[in-house]
Amino acid sequence: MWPLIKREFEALYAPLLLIALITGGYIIWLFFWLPTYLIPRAPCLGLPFVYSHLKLFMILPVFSAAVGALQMTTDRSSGISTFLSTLATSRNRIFAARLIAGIASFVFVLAALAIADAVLINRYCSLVPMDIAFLIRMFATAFLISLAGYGIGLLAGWRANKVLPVLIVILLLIPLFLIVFFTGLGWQSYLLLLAIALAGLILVWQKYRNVSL
Amino acid sequence: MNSAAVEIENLVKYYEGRCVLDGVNLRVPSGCIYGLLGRNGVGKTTIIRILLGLESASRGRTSLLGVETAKLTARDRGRIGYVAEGHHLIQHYRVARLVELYQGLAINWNEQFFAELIARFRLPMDRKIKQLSNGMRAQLNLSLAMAIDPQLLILDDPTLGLDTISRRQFLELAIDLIQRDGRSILFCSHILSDVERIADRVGILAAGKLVVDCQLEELKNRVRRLRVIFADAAPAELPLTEIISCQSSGRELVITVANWNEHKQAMLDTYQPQSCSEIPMSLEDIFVECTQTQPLSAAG
Repeated sequence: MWPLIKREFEALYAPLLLIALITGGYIIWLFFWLPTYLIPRAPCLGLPFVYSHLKLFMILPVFSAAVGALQMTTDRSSGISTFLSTLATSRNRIFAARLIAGIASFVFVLAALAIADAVLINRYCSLVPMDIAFLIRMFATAFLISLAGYGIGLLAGWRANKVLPVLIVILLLIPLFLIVFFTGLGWQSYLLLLAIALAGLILVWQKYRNVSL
Repeated sequence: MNSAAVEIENLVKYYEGRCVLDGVNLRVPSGCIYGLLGRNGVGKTTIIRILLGLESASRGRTSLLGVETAKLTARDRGRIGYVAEGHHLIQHYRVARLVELYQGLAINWNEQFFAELIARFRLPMDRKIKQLSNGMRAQLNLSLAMAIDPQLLILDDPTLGLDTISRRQFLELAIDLIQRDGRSILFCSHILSDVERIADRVGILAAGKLVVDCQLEELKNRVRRLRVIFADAAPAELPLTEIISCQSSGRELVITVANWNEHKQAMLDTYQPQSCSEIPMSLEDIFVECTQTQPLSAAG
């Protein structure tokens, strides 16, 4: 299984590098921005810190959808599954390795951000009051919307046409953002996003298991 | 009776409403080199793809090494080597990276043997697959498939694009493999001289059916081409069954007949031909006869 996971990560090195640069840049900016902007305005400006994450959280579902679509279009165009499935493995394993690499790509971003937040909160909590529960809800929503975006990306990517997946992804991502916009950060949006994510992943898994390679 | 390395029962496959395989039954015993022949588009590659689970059958049952295709585990697949027509390797990978991936997934990996093959074929490990010639890709594909020490080797037109020397090396390797205990090869090829050289059993696929399935020697014995010279004009029709082809020109008649036997000889003798001589047939001749005309019933 490990060679498959490794292969999937290697195949994603360009988008992973890109998102690592964006995330790294954002975290570095946070570390400079918080003391110079927020601390002098404390205690009333705790929320801007949380909202500043929104920029990254908006990018993340688009990134995860792009990763999913890229994984599938590359597979389709290079016949990767056709080759792999004749080796000592199975379609389920190939698909599982793909999911692990794909999901890990945006979980890494969230994890890096969570660690940065933990460090910042620990350092400045006494100065800037934070709504920790709200922050956690934001992370949960970001994860679920990215997961749903990833599922949509996988589903849209499994076709020979390279333009169509982009259009499908763009069209289907808009409702995801609208769900969060209208239902807010809570169980209602979690359930809706989780349902969309699971539906997308199960659908693409079924399709992948049965498709001619 | 030997256990079967490959077993196909009543395999039917439709493509967009067109019947490509129409109830194919095939059995490759363990330790056998089976040559599957047929014209382009007759369904040889489809059979192999269904056997490997790359696509589904419309109907029927297939199994490899005693395990149904749908139930093949990673371990079972690890005992099967596959060399595909066109060599579907990951084109943008370097050879070394592909080897690493293949080795990482393999259950058995004979590093020494693989190194020998790489050296013999002079394969550059640092070059991208897409930069290799078709022949080199075939050699790499075969080297990878052989390095896992497969119980069953499935070769789909593997020598396509290879020069004579590489083809010979390829066939020697196949023979080398089969000499190991209980190994089997299912071999599709358009180069019939290759099949004739190594196969001990052949199947001929025509019009979606396996019209021939028997030992190579048996096939050669069963199908006869005769040149018959009559005193007067050759008869327009002969009351013989299983005539594959018949060409008459003046007093001469050239007929190809399946399942030639004493009864058919006696029937021919009633026409009191001046002479009757056998024209030797290669596998290629038999193949052409079987696939150009109506299906021959020599399956057995």
